[in-house]
Amino acid sequence: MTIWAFLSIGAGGALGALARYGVGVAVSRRSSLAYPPSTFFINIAGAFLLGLSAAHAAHSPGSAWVEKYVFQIGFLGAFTTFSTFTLEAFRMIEDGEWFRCGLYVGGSAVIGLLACALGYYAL
Amino acid sequence: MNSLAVAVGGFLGAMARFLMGTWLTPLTEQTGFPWGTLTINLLGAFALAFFLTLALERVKVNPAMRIGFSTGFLGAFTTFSTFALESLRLLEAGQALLAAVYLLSSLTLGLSVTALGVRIARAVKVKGAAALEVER
Repeated sequence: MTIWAFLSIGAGGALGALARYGVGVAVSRRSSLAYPPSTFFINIAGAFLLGLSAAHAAHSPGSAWVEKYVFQIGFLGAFTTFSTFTLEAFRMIEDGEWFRCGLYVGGSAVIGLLACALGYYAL
Repeated sequence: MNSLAVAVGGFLGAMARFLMGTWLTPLTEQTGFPWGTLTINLLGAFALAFFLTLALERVKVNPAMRIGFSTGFLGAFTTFSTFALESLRLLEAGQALLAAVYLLSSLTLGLSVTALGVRIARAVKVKGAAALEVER
């Protein structure tokens, strides 16, 4: 583990966080798309891509560390998020939207897992 | 300015996640349970709920600083993709029960610490606001 690998994770993380922020800003401009929150689509897409990348890395043992550090740990780790997800779910509860909250939390977990499996077994 | 703050926060958040994950790897390997990601996600969920509630309802925080720390740092520190992959790997290893425990504990504890963070932030008495109340 060199300092370069460590910094690569940071660079991937900066891009991942920017991409998530950009998607959020773009979606919030179209209020009709505000539900479910953009975090939902981001997390599902990120889970799918990580499944795909994990399978790719498993099938090609010599695959570059760039894929692991920059893309998997850095970019996808930062692109997807857990803290915003739980805060959004909690705000639904505060608004009395228990059903929506259940749908959001349960849907994210189940579809996230399925998307990850789809990516993983697609290769 | 906000984008720059998000990028800097994301840079530090991803590195912090890696450091903490590496630090907890022995525990994860000994127990076969993804303690690293669980700890990271719960810590980050609590911090985000506490910080954003404080910044939006109690204390004035510069917007770029607020977005940089919340969307950037804490957003990148916590992760969903690894959480999904670890659940899948537990299922693949025939550990369906552990996978269920991981999924359910992440979700229920995540919501609980979020509620806790919001409550604690709202209980914070701010000096300026307290003085205003006294004046009235």
